[in-house]
Amino acid sequence: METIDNVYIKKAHCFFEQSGTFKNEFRQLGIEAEDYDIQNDFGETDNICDLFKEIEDAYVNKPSVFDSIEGGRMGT
Amino acid sequence: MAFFPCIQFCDAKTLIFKGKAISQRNKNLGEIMDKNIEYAKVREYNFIQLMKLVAVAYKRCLRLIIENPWNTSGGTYLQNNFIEPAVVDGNRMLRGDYFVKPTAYWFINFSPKNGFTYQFDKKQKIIMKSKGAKKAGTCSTERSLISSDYARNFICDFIIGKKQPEIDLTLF
Repeated sequence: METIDNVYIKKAHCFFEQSGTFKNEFRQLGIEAEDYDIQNDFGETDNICDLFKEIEDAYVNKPSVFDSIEGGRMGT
Repeated sequence: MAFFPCIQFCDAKTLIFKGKAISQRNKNLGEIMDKNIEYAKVREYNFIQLMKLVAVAYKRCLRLIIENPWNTSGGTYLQNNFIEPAVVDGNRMLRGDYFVKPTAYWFINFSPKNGFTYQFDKKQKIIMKSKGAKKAGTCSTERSLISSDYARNFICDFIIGKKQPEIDLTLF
């Protein structure tokens, strides 16, 4: 868990295309990360899903991938 | 972080809605309007999805960064119809990317740090000379490409506030 100026980053979640590039760099920096995309062109996408559908479901409080994403805890 | 699909918001779409795209040259006004109605519906759908994403993040207290192209002459759809971004990176090559490609970043539920890692070491790629998409209406992988150097520098500069003296060499 990276701690910078009281901001805790438990895990980074990267959505849509190019999310893999950022996911890998977060990990190199010691921050746990996973990516989400409908495509898996390079065989490295952690979560293959229709993000537009996930957004729709989350918006109306149906189960979605957002349920597994924790909100950040800001330092005081 | 959300690299939100940008093809519907790019300034090239403005030409289509104005009826001035090269692909519309041989079409009559009725055909142009029929097609533009379809395009407008797709763009509206994408825009609503973007706003729902922001709403979901805000209500759940998730720290979210949205990325999308920016245009220095003010041509993208989001520039004229969306909340202001927290950061506009006018030249991504200065942080180690392949493209100049001005890009905006919206920070939801937190503010960006203000670092700057200078890494100007790539041969420039030109978007218009990059390979096109395999499927019409989508952005090609090459045009969407972000270098791993840029990704790292962005994270260090704007998210975690980490200095990288081994990369950002100074004269002194």
